[in-house]
Amino acid sequence: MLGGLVATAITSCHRTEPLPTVISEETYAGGELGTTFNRSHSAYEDPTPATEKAGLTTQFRYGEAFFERSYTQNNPPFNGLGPLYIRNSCIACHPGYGHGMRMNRYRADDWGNGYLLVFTDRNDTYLSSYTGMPQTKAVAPFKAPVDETKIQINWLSYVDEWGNQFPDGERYNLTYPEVYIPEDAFYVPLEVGGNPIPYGDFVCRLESTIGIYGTGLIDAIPDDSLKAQYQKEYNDGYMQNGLNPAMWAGSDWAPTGLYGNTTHPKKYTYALTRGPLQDAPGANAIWNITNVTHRTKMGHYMTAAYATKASQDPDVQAEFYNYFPQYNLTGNVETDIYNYLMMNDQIPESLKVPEMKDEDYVNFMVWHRGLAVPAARDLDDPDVQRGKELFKEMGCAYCHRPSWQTGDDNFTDPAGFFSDSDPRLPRYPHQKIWPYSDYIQHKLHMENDIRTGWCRTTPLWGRGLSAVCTGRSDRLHDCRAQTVIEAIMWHGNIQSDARRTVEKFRELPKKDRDAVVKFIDAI
Amino acid sequence: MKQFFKSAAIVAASILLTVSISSCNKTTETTDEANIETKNVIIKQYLNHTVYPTYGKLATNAETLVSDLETLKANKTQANLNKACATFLEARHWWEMSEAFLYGAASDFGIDPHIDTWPLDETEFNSLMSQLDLIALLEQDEDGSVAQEKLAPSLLGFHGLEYILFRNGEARPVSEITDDYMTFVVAVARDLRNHCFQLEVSWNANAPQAHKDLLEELEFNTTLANGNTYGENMTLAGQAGSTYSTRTQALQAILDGCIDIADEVGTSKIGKPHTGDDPTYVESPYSQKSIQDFTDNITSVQNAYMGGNEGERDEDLSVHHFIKNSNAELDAKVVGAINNAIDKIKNMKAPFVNNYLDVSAGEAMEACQELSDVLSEAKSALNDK
Repeated sequence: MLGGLVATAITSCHRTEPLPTVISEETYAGGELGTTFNRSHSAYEDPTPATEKAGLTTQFRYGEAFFERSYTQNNPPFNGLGPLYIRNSCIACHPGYGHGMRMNRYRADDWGNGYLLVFTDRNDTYLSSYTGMPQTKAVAPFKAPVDETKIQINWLSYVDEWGNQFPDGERYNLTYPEVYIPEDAFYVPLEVGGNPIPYGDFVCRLESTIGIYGTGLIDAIPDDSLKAQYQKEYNDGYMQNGLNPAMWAGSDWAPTGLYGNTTHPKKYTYALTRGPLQDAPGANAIWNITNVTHRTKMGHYMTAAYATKASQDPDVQAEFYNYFPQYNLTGNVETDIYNYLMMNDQIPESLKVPEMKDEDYVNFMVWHRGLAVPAARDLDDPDVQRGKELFKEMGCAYCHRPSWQTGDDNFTDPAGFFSDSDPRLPRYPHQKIWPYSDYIQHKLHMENDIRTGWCRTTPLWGRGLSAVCTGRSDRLHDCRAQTVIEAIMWHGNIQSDARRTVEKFRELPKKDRDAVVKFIDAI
Repeated sequence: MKQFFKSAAIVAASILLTVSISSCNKTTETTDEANIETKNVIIKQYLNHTVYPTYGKLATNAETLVSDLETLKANKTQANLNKACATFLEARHWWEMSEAFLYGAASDFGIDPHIDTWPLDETEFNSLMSQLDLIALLEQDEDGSVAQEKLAPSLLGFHGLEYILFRNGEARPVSEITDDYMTFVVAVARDLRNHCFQLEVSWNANAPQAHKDLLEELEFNTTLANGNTYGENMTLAGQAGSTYSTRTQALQAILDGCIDIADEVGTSKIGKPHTGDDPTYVESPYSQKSIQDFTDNITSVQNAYMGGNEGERDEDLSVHHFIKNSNAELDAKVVGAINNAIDKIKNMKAPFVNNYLDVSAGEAMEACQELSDVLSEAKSALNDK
């Protein structure tokens, strides 16, 4: 009798634990080949079934070390740090393998700081005298291009046209960062296109990392499928900001919509700067964040402006030969410093030894392609189902397109290190995946907006596990949103492509708003 | 024990019944999972008799290490160095004993990379030694905050200290340790102590007040975003405010921590040097305590699985006991794999840095990988229990 009463009490107001035998296709967020059913703290760190089936698990674990470990200047196996660097490890920017964290200051060594500094003039043109991702660290005897101890991040309050309040009275906070860097923090002159700009024209903004899991699955989305999505959105004409003409020319790709000299479109980063994964953020970052060279990336991430400044700096000149005796090649220390930093053709081949071995780079890419997406959770929860229905009805699913079908996944490598469909890497053919993004840029017109205002729809998959996997759940490109509601309401500007959807969200009763949040956390 | 579980089930049912009938809206219970009381007891035992005491001893020894090094700095004798080295090894022992629970504060706050990054960057260290103004700042570094702010992670933590204090498996001749080296180690030890306190306080709401006070002064983060400690978070599993939406997830997290370290010891710590023939992957080459480290890592797994540290273990209040009740064969495999891994590691030819190619290393590697695999089975077996 006791058991019966308990059963009745339970079903009336508690949800039931989902049964693992009832698995819909949506649960397989990364497809059968790309999903992990881990929902514990290591959920973002598992190898895909494809990786395991291909017998690549050991290589995956070896490659993982090159992501997690701190780099040193000369102590193997993780050697090669410097002369300038952004972070001394990859996980430093991708804490817990997830999204960067909201920070109150910028220090390369602060745990969780996933921010890249964005240095531009007032026209959104990147400074030419600084690397696209500015470095704040240097090894002796060099000086950092910018003194990070002088960088200030100020968090400001924003009140939207609705007073940060829903019609039923529930309130939300909106805050956003502004960055201030005093003129004396810059070691290298401020230049655009090689010409000096006045300090008053300098702008600095922040862009945070997002997670890395599932990037192999995205790489497997066929080019034609993405093209069809662009054409559809263009033809539909629903977006008040249209599509970015730098990506789409009306009935075909814009020349700058394709990656480098390839025929492949760009899919990765907020600014859509990268195409095939083998030459995308991770493959490049393993080199440019730490300045660890490997066979197809033997230069230094560097600017001529920095090299010039450093080579003419008497402090650097006084010590260079002590620290880098092997680069005493001409006897003219200014020339030797410049050539070393630029790693140009004045440096003999004998000194151009890759710091990262081929085998280690391969293992790293096995890991990178091989990271699994966590399965969606609790999809049979009625609140989650309600949230999903609303997500679609309101139009969120237009930009946050729920699913894609991968193709044959005959991946390519524009950098030429891997061959097409290289058997050393895992592949994801013919998978239905659920990233919740159209991989197209839109404009939200946020206060202190992202550079150019165009921002790729960030994939939503897996984000609900962020607190478990990383300790925090900050969202949006500069980590300004600390809750899902804040992230949604930052979509609400009157000129935003999501304006009408946000208006509908505001009209929902609280129970339905909470259901939408629960759904977003479940995928 | 049947009586325990029977009465626990009745207690659980009555609690649910009472809570449910009184008001559905007021309960914070979010799940109707089975065996709630049993699982709560296991979680409590794990926290109070594995996690808290391990971090407590780590914190105490890290604090003693600071005073030992201050004593050495004031009076550079071999005896004082030997004492500091012994304390270092004791602190390190407790850190390695915590590696079955590297989730939570150790990873969320980046404490693991901060205190356990290796190898030490010798070029960076030599460069530091030529920066007299920075050494002068470290000399004034009363609380370790200068070390934290100014030194690269590859100089900090256990490995920074090990590099200065040990050579060839022993305390160095004290004459080799310069005054500047001493300035460095005292500052690094203070920073290490701070982060060991952070581990302790972040998990245990009842950590010593003096430790909490220091962390508050240093403005260290010591809770989840909602203000709960990691221990409170796990205790609240299955209730609103916890990152564990069920108690099963908390038990699975316990096993997940074990899986992670068993796999790391097998594949990376032993496996990479052994199969890759690469000694640069050996972790503690100066103190030559790798085998002790590995043993401690798997003992950490044993403590987590079997219901507590040696001397305060209660096997009846453990994941081992819980799994044994529904799948005795699987539990026996786990217990066997743990014991086998520890045996094989203890059997490794020492020191590891000189013998990583030995057959005994290969056997230990395989034993750890087998342990990781069977723990994964155990984790899956917890679904729906």
